Amino acid sequence: MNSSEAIRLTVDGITKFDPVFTKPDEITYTVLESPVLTRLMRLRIGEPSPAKLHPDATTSEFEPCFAADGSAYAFIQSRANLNMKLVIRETATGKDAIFDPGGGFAAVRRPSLHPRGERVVFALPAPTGQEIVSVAKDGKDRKTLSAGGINNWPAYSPDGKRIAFCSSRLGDLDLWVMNADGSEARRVVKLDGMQARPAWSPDGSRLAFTWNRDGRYSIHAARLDGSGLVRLAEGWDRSDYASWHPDGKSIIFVGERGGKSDLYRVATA
Amino acid sequence: MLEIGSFRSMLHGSASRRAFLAASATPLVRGIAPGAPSRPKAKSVILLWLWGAPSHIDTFDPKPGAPAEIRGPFSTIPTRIPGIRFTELFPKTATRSDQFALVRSMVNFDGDHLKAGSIGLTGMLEGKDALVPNFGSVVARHRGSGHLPAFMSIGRGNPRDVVGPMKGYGGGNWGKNHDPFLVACTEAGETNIPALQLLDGLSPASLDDRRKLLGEIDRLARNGDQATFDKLNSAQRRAYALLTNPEAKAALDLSREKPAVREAYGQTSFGQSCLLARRLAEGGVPYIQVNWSQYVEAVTPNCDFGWDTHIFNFDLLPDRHGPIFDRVFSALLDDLRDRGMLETTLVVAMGEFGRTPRINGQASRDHWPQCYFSIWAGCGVRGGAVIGDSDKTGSAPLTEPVTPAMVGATIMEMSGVDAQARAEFRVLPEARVIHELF
Repeated sequence: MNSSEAIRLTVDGITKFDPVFTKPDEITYTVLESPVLTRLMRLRIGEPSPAKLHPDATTSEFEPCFAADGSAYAFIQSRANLNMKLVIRETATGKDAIFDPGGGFAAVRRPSLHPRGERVVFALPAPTGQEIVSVAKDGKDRKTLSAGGINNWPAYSPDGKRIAFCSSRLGDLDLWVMNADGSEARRVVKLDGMQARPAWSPDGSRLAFTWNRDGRYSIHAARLDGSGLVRLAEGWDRSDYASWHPDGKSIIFVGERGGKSDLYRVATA
Repeated sequence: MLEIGSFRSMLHGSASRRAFLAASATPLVRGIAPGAPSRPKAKSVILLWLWGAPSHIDTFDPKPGAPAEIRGPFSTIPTRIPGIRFTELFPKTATRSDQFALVRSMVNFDGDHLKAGSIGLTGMLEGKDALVPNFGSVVARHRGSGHLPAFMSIGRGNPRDVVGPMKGYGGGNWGKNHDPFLVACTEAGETNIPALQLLDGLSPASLDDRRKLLGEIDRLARNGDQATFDKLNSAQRRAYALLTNPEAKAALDLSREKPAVREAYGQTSFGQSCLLARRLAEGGVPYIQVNWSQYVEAVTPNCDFGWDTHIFNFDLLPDRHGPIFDRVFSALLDDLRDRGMLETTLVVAMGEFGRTPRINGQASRDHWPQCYFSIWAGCGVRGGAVIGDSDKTGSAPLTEPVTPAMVGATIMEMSGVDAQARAEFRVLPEARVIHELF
């Protein structure tokens, strides 16, 4: 399967973000439902239309992430103007734990759940720059993992031992990997143009990520040593927000074509 | 005489009226002759009002050699102008940099959105208190209306923040008859007339159904329902008149556009709003203001933050603001050029101020009226011109500051509101035109 064989999963063209497989045949993503509201949606592949994940939500919710064992999921919830909190929801009970960044203009973004739901890692602005921070599943035990420069888009590896992220500590936003405790951070690859939103392959051997290559956001993948760089999605005005299928044979992403944003699925091999 | 030294220090608070007038009325520099050069007049002005205030450093005045706490995380890319670079978020705009002029030495006189916005759109400190009219109100008064209102504003509403509305959005002390005629435009290109929402027989539900709305309007027109018409206020009467005119209705109907054109602008509210602006210019509207509004950052509810990225500036800009502006501005330039409209349409893009050179404690940038940018295209503007320069940290202009008053004088001059007319209106009589643009 190449880009010409990509499968278009949605057709409404409206703005979408953050798709992620929650089951082999199910995707959760964020949609810009109205000018003032983002909403989490769930799409079963093959069904004609998505369903609202939280039908009663009245404030913007976005950036969902799920523990691989299904024990919990997390998302960002807008609480007030320029103020966003992290919600960690226990799947079985619906019980929420909250990480509150404080009042005023304060927010967290881009959470990623440990595969067993033990911790959540996310981006948190700080006087030293934008940090990668983790908290336990109860929203407590905050630990700073990466500081200095702008750090963003952390993603736990499938085994929970490492975290991929992007950092400007050496100048521009590059792709990095570190141990889950923040140690041994290293740049994966040096490329011209911003890299963003890394996503681990299920076997932990590759990272898919968005690369602003020659003025166009497109999804590429590389091994952890930076080798094997390959473009996974080609032919869109913008391809972004990659997420691997659990079988590792395809990714889903948001593709912008003709000014419209939809979800697509394309093979990785 | 310029008061650069005291000028900079005063900008941290409110600038004095004296400094403001001095900066705005400064004689021309670097041998450029006074007096308006011969050039085509603007049939229409399209102002892209980047409400919330974009960072100049993260957009069109990057400082790649500055320390990390100033330069930010974005790399820079070349433009068609030797030595001029933009951040990597604006590749399409960079490839069209020979088609527009960039001013890098803008200054405003207040760090508050509502006040700076009012100054930015009226050119006068009195704009803060709605004591003077918006540039568009002046142009509209001078030019008069055709089958479409002469000053139209596109957006979900007039710009506001958590405190309230911006006072300089409209007619000011000239009265509400000189306010812009407001049209909302969704990302699907559906237009809506807020002024009609109080019309008898037109429920909010019917407003959502455009065909039904037009049917109701037609019914009122056919029946000559004088009693209903008498209830309308001036804005509603203008709306009624507009929607009962076939040409006016057509101008508001984006479904008449070819799909390829609509796609070029993108399925965003700002994109379709700019396409609507082009249609309105085509329809003869002298002044159209497109308000960049909250649709791009629904993460901030209940208010119109726009480019006011106090948090996650380095996430929102590459994800939403940058790509949207880059696509839409480029599409607008291409579209105007392809239709032969660029010679008679003046396009201006700017916010109310810039953002702090030094990254703040929230890994973002705050308000910075001391230095920002504006972009100008069409109507004889020199493509590729870079007017003014900022210092190595983007903190202040190194060259003569370009003020909102000069912006207003230039827009008005190009629209036919010459110095004499401005004097008669008592609007910016002493401000100079930015001749370097032409």
